[in-house]
Order: sequence, then C-alpha cells, then structure tokens
Amino acid sequence: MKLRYIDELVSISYNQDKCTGCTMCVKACPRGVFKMDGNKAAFADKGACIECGACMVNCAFGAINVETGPGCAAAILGSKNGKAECGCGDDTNSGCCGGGKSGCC
Amino acid sequence: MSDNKDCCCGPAAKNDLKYIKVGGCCGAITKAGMVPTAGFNWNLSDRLGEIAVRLGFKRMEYAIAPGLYAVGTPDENSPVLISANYKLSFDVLRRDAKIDAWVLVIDTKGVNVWCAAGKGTFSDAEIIKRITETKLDMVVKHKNIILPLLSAPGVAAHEIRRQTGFKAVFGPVEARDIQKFIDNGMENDTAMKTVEFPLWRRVEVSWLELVMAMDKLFWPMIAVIVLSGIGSRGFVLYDAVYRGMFYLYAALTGMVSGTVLFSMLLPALPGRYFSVKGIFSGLLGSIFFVLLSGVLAAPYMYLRLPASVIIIISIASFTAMNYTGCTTFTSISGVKKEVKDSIGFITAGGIISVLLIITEMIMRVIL
Repeated sequence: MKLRYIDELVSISYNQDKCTGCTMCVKACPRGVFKMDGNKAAFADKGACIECGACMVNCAFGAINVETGPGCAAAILGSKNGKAECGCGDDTNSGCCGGGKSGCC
Repeated sequence: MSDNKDCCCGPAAKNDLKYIKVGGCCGAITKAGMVPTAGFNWNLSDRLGEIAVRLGFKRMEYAIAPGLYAVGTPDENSPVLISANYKLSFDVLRRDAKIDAWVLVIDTKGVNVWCAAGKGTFSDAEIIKRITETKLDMVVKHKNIILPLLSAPGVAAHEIRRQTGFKAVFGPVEARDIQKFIDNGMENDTAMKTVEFPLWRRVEVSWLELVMAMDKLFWPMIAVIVLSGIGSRGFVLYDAVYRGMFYLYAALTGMVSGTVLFSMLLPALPGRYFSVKGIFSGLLGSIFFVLLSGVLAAPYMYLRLPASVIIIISIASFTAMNYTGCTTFTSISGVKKEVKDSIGFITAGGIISVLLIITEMIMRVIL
C-alpha cells in the first residue's frame, strides 16, 4: 500500500519541452511520480511527490523544478529565518534531532 | 582483532568522529592496495549496536571510516555498491545484499543514506572524491557503480559519469533486492523502487521518537510535581509525588499514543494531518488511561479527568506531528501547512491542561 500525505500541496513543476527522454527522473523517483509517455517523461502520480528533489537533481536538462526540504515538523519548528533544515550530524543544529546528540534521521 | 592503528582497518579518521572498526585486521589485496574486509553476517556487537542507535544512544557517533571495503570475496568483476558511513547503513547492506561486492563507503558524517542525501553530504562530489581516492578504476575492470535509490536527492548520476567515467545507476531501495536488480540487467521493477513503510518498520523508528519526547519531560514534570504538592497543609512532598505521578502517567500515555501506538495505527487513523491522526490515537490512549488510572474515583475528578485527557491528546497530537520526519511520504510544503494549522490548537490544549491543574491546586488550598 502506498501511504499518502497531502496530495494537492506539491510544488513540483515540469517543462516537457526541455525533456530529452533520458528516463532519469523515472529511475530516480522513489514515489513513481513520473512515467515515460512515448519518448518524453510525463506525470504518472503528481500527488505522491514528497519533494525530495531526486528528479530535479538528476535531470541534466533542467526540465524539473521543485522546492525541496525535509518533510519533518521538528525541522520546521526549529527553523531559523523560515528555512527548515534537518540538523542531523551538524554542530549547528536547527532543533530537529535533539540538538545533534540524537534525533529523527 | 588488534587495536594497532597501522593495520589495514580502513583509512584514518579525518574529522572529529571516532570511527568504529569494521572487519578483521587482514584486508583484501587489490591492485590499488589493501582494503578492509567484512562478512555478510552480524556479530553480537553489530546487533547490540543496532538496538542502541534505535533508542538514540550514541546514534550520531555510529560511524565507520570512509573508503573501500571488500564484502565477502569480491574479484575485479564484482559489483561496486556505494553506501553511507552510518554503520547501520553498511551493516544492513552487507547482511541483506549478501553478495560478494566492493562497497565504497563515503563520508556522510555518520548519517544514513536518505537523510544524508537530503542534507547534501551523500553527494556526487563526495562519491567522485572517493572513487579517485580509492583508485577504484584499478580495483575493478568494469565501469559501473550501484547507488542506493534513496541517495538520488543528493546525487546527480550524470556528474559522476562525466567526471570519473563510472556509470552510476540507481539500484533498489532495499539492499535485499540488489542481486535481483543485477540479474534484471541493472533495472528496478516497480516494487524494488517503491519505498515500503510496513508495520514493523513504522514501529522500529517510533521508539526513537518516544525516547526523544521523554527527554523533554524533566522540567515540565518538576513544575507539575511542585504544583501537585501545594494544598491546604502547605507543601507536602508525599502529595507532590503521589499527585504528580498521575500527570506523569498521563504525559507518558500521550507520548506512547503519539509515537509507538500511532506508528502501528498510522494507515488506519482518520485525517491527513499527522496531528489530526494523533488526536485519534491520543483518544484511544486516553480510554486506557481513564480505565486504568482510577481517575473517575479520584478527588477533583471533574478537573483531573479533562486535564489528563487534554494533556494526553495534545501530547499525542504533537509527537504524532513530529513523526512526519520519520516517514518517507511527507513533503515539506505539506508539513509546513500542517504545522501552521496545528500548533495553535496543540499549544492551547497544553495551556488549558495547566490551567486545570492550577485550578485544582487553588481549590485544594481554599477548601
């Protein structure tokens, strides 16, 4: 069963004109957001996107844009200047992960 | 195993993390030199190590030295797998993949694959650096490396190929599917690239949330115990502890309801916000609490019953909301909205409970 969160709140955008059909977005996505439609990528399940950025990072042609960040309430509550960052493994912990000593990830 | 630092037990530590040694003292000989070896099976310290880090103990120091490792008895045609230097990531990989392979461990500061990819430490730049440093091209004859699928948010596969000549492919989510992936011509089927979050795994990660929540309990409990001790006879220690325990149990019920119980019931709980789902698991926890605590027969029941139930539900809702960080299906846009919409209600619940506890104290003093 595919667990889902809030489908309509997804920041991902995709410009099919820039797609070269390399299939990397399909291969990199852990949520099955993309599929191949002929020789171009297309959304298969946009609402399943978790904004991890795997497709964007692996699209060498800049066809995909998504605002990424940790889907973690502790990171958001501990964020400074509105920028949520997972602090695991950092000295400058942002509140997530119990001050660098223990934590979520 | 010897503690001799000159033996081939992995590259020397380069940052302040103290690395845990892996494998025996005698390494595998390659054209690029000796590399440490490791088997497929876990020993006792691997097992105890997992239990400790799952409970949050020394979790951020559970790291191994970055570098190349020979798992099983690989040769120059064996696959190259990339892993994080969180020891549990490496241990799960060698145990579950159970294939003779070269494992290139990169420096993620002791953080697991998914989180390190999100943070940018599990990156193409770091992989390229390690490929060069370990002279991987001399160790194997082929030009393929297999990355865990969950490293994709941090790794541009095309950059690795451009800069090192190694073709980086994203393998399966789970190490146990690696053999199948290779047999399949280095392709994932749908199941192999889908992140599952089954019951046992949901519960496994919930313990850490519970431990972390309990960690924050100390000062609020001191405050509640002090309030509970105040009565018509002044401050009585026995009363403080006796009445304070009631709220300690309530708080613990809320924490267990919002973490372990919540993780078990997650797919079945109504609502989409975790905070809302947490209200329902908190309600369930409240039922147990009311039945077992004997609150219905307690003095000031009309204050204690709502105070304890509201505490349980507020804490359950809050800890459940924090569980968003444990999952692999939440998004930052969604969690931002959830936090914005929920935090006011949770705070209000906490304030109401405290006011009820103070009201009970005042009643005791007056009557």
